[in-house]
Amino acid sequence: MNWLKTLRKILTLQCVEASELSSQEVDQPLRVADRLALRCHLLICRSCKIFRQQVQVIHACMALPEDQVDRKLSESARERIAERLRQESQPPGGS
Amino acid sequence: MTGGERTNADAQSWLAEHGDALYRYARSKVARDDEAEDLVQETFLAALRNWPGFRGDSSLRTWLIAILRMKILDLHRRHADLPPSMLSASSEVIERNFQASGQWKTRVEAWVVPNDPVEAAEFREAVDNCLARLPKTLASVFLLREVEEMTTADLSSNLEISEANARIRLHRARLLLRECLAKSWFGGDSNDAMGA
Repeated sequence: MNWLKTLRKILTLQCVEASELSSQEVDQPLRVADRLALRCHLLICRSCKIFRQQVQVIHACMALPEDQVDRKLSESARERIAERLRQESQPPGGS
Repeated sequence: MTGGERTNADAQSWLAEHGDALYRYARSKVARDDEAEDLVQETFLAALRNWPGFRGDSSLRTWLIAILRMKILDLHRRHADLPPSMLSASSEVIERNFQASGQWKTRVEAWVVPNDPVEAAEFREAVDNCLARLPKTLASVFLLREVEEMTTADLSSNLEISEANARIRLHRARLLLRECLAKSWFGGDSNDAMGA
């Protein structure tokens, strides 16, 4: 029965389901039936093939080390935080 | 430098010495600049309140980062817990991309994949800009998965959502990011990226 279910999935997989599997694939290994269904769908659907590549490009991009971007607190944020810390560190009842 | 009397001078020196590092750390874990700024502020405030308990077993920076990490997870939990309407709003991306029959409404166009360090850094910046525009309930799940490398099982236990729900949110987040990047990075039209 299982192979019938797998065959049915392969034959009936729609793009929306294929896109779900392409997303799921970067998070965890797919079950055999899902993997087969996705592979077969990708053979005949160029859009899903491209979507899968794009999901993988985004995933790879997120793995880039963040220190490539030199970020600092903005002056306005720094002033806002400094003021809030001044308020917080005043002794109770102090001016 | 263990916990005695807390003073404004202490707090201001923490901000001067550790503010940027905490901000960079926070910004790498959340989607928006203002969220990272608020997290830095909350971290320093919590540090001031808990200063008498700081025993100096770790460096001050390590202690501050540990507080910040808890604040970041709290923020993602709050976002994941946003009303269901926030999630159903994100379901529009399915209707926008797919026909009722389940096929793509329009052909998905290929991207030129960034293949040198400069392009890759610019692409990462574009991804960050698009992330800042995602619904918070999706961005938090996406960041916990991609940056914190949580599994869907981890997401389920940390955010108290089902694994299926985590997969749905990740799928919608990726569809929205793809749409946004197709316009802002590859299509040259950033104004209407991610539309409304």
